[in-house]
Amino acid sequence: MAMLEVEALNVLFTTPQGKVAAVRDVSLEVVAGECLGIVGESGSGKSQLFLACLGLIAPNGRASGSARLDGLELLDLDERALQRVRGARASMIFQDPMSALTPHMRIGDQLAEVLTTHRALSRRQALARAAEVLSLVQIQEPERRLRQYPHELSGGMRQRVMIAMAILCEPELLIADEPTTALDVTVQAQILDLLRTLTAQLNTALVLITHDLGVVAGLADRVAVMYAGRVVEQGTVADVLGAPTHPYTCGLLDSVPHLRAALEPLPIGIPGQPPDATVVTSGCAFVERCGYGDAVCRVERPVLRPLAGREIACHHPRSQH
Amino acid sequence: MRPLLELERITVDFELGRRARLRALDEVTLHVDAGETLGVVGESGCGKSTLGRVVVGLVRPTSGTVTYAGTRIDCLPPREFRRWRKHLQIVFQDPFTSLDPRMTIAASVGEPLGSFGSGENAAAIEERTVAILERVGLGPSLLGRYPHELSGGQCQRAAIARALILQPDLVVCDEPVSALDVSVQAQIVRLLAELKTEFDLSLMFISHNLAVVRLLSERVLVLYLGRRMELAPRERLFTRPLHPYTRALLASVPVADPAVERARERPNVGGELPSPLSPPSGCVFRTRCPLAIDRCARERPRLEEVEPGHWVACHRWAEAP
Repeated sequence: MAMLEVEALNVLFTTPQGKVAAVRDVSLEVVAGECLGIVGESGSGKSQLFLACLGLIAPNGRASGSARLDGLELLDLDERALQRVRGARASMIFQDPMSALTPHMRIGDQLAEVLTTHRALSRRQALARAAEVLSLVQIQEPERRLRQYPHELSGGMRQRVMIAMAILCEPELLIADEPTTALDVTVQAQILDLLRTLTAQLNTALVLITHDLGVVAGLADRVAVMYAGRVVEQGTVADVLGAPTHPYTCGLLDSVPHLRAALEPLPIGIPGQPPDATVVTSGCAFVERCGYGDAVCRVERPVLRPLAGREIACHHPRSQH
Repeated sequence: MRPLLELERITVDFELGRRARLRALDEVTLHVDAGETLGVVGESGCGKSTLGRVVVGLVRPTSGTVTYAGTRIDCLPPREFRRWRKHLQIVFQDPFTSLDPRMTIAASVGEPLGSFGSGENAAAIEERTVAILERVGLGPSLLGRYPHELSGGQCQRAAIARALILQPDLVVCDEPVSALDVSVQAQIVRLLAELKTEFDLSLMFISHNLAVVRLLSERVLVLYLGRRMELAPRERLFTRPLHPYTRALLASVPVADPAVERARERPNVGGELPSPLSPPSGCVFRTRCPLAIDRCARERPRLEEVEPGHWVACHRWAEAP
């Protein structure tokens, strides 16, 4: 059974410039032990979707639809109930570990706080457990690290602490939002290996939000590609990245330079800019940047439908080669 | 023929308080030929941005010389350096912070002509501003707009236009696509490649993204903790890297193809960048190097030409598998 089931989720922000629909009618699920990659560019709604699930969107935002964690409807929970879920049953790893950790608290106190809040452990028990989990995320000399402050740690080490904090209570759902974007590439490889090992060990459902298709290719089992707040293609990583059918997925893959690909021609990218989220159109949001759009695409929004082993929202899917 | 730009044993120290001194660049020698693109890669703290700033005179080297077209320019008084500024331009990573938020795009792009041009009148400046903006793909409707009204990609096009309006010989591009979405990155890389040919430019292309550097550079320099590790023609560096650090960097880059990504060997460099305030003795990479021996701690490896045009600073390069 799915650990997280999102159904027809919408996130709408009220701004001085008008209503902004950040997430539109998204349905997806993640099962235990599985990694779902969420790919999209800035403004595609990939982060807001999961912030909404955990009740973390900004005060001018409103989420509607359904998001169930092991059957529990998250959107109906009040703040107190959400606090019991966050950090215990569902945790989040953020992009920038420096701003996500409290700068004036020792690492040990920040980690212990999670356990004294959610697990009714004493401070001493909590610190002992925190040291255990720091070893689990391959931090040397955990007792010494517990006494340090975030600024005394390197970027990679801070991200390990963030991961340790997220898995302290062995959550059923772990959401990693660009967990390696702020890190150097050699350290990124280490952190991805760690996430891979840990989620297998703990049988956690992992959501990996990233703009980096390479990271998804290495870690995720399935992937959902988002554009302008909607899922436009989803399926197994092998299907979607190996043989993309949505013109946007194709365009994204063609934009990424490969270390071993031919040098000519240069990657073409996708012409134009991502659409303005305040503008509501009836047709496909990608039509202005798509090489295959026609009159139908402008008036009729394509719905997600099964095709070639995955789901795709497009009137003119590309055939697989 | 003499290279367009020559850097000879450039060292840059930053004084941090009374006792601490950070050596950002340590005896870096290099040259850039007319019409050539030199790629500079490395992770955070390797000195690549400092290097670019030394070239355009924004950072004064502690020791060493910068020679441009046969003239030494590193020790000129600011007034005299002005003569050279129009030949040496720079494009920064974040286009929103490198354009003045209170100036229109036309004003920002045309300003260098007013300051460094040959006394053009307002009409001539406007004409050239319109022309260069059109060349980088920004239509006349954007002339009166402010940076916040533009997308990241459009701002970066404007920053490129501003760098080119004085018809420089050499442009330093410091992570010019890193802040952009991947579909837009490809557009900008393409634009730079076209402009390079059209304006007969030399580029110093600085990036942490190896795949992007590979697309544009004829030669590539790899930096680590302020020192040169390897310098080689593009094809050699990417197909037959000799320095263990270059090999680790290349092996760490995730590939967007799931079949390749899952089958490949993981890099064997552990740990993280040592503190640049107290770099390791001998070879600075030895603390993370899988091939390190005692000699690496004692003796700093010199950059040697091991094959024509291929330079490596490693005692153990011949042992690499």
